[in-house]
Amino acid sequence: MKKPAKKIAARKAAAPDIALLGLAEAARAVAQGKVTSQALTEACLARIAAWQPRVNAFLKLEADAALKAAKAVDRARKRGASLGRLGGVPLAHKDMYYRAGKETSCGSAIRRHWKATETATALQRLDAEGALDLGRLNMAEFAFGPTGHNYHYGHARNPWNTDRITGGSSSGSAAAVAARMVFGALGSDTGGSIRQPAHYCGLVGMKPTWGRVSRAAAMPLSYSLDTVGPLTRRVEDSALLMEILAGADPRDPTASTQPVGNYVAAAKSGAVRGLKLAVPRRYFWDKLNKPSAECLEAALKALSKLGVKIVEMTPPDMEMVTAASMVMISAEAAALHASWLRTRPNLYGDQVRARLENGLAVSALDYIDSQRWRSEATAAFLKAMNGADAVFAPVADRPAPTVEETDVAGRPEAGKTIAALTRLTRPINYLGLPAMTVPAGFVRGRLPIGFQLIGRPFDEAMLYRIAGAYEAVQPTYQTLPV
Amino acid sequence: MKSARKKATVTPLTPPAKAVPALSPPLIAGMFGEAGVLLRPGRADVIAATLGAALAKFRGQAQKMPFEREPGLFPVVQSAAAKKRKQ
Repeated sequence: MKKPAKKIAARKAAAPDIALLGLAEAARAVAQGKVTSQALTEACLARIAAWQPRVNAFLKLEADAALKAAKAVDRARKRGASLGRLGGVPLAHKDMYYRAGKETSCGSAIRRHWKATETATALQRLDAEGALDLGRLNMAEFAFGPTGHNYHYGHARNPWNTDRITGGSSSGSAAAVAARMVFGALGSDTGGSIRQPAHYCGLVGMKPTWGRVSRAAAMPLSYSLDTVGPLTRRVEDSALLMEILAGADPRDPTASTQPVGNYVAAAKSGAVRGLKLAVPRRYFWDKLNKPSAECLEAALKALSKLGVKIVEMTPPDMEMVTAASMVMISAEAAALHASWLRTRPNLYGDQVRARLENGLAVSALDYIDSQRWRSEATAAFLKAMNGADAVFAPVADRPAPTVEETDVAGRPEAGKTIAALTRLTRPINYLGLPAMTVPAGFVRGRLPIGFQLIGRPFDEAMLYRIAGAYEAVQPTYQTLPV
Repeated sequence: MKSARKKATVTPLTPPAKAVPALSPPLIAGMFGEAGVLLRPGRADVIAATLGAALAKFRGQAQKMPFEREPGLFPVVQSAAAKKRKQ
């Protein structure tokens, strides 16, 4: 990374403030000719030069290719050609989305120089709408870590306080978007890997319903739990990316044919009066620290003022849901990695190797039972919502902990530390429901926290509706990390 | 002879029921051996303690499932929605 960073610093930086625009706002500015794609890209590159040494978000930067693509977009606009809904906007993605002919490390040593032979459907859809790709972003090794530690490529660090974790596994995606290095990024969420870094870094993170977004040519971790989704600074930006990403895909038989909602319209509607939001105090509030609890109560109050009816709900046994989820992810991840665990175990980092090994001790009987119980657990959760439009819950018990205190590697207490970080997000993957992190505010000075909106299957539009209305009265994106 | 008969009558033919761990370290060692993966010293105990606890909890729930329950994510939900539409 050092050479490209120096090269970028030597470039004449464009007006840096345009890197602070929202994604949708930037796309509109390019389409209307108010700003060029080249200027946007140069502004992002200037931010990358300044922030990369501090947060280690990028594993690989493709500055020249992105600038070339940006100039092509600008020429196309002058010709009057259609640019697409993301025309000329620089993005970058977690290094687990395959692009034909390009190296995709998956954050691992095992795949350090592995070249993909096909391109992920998610990337194809963003490409088709004219998005630029600035490079590959850091991530937990094989997306199997919730802290942002990576022993092969260096840990990602939180732009709000670089002593603290970004969360993971979409660590580089969160760091890059929060530091305004790019306008948005793809993450993936198997147990909280989009929502949890979004919470720690003050971002909007959407984990869609399982099957809502195609996973074709994206690195798998756990087939039954993996989801693809965006991290952005604003709700409208997330909605725009989801409209583009969602939908059936012949390359992924698990991608749903359910119609895609009008997410952008929902995010901008502001129509939340009369909606019912359920609050599950049991389990979700059990370990919440005081500053976080106060911030979430303030958020609930703000939503109430908008006319949202807040009701209490008693969720089903979430400890049981978490246990079932652990059985499922352990078995599926171990099955994927068994061959490398046999032949190249020393190439794994200690934390990931230890977690993957767990799954070798799960019997077929237990795994199948975890699949059999799933619909029953989901039905019980939806029944507990008792007609509410969505659920409001914390994402994590506290703001970002330090890199040092969560550096557990393969130590015996690693399991407990990891379980504690994901205890509020992991069960929702098992239930298959859509869930979204919305920035709530800041605690302890400048540490962001978010709340989680959990919806009914394929009702992402409802989550965007509530999140958009909240953001309008609490625009946390206006506060920048320094 | 008398004392031996007395001992036999008080000793049950099968061991008394006791808590069996969901995953015992020897069982884990066997599963690693079957998979052909090196089991590092001390790992079996850690796995037994962490994954074993989750398994023990989940097995209690699994025993209550109806015999006919099939794997799937949303079938129960969808059938409920279908019933509602019919009504």
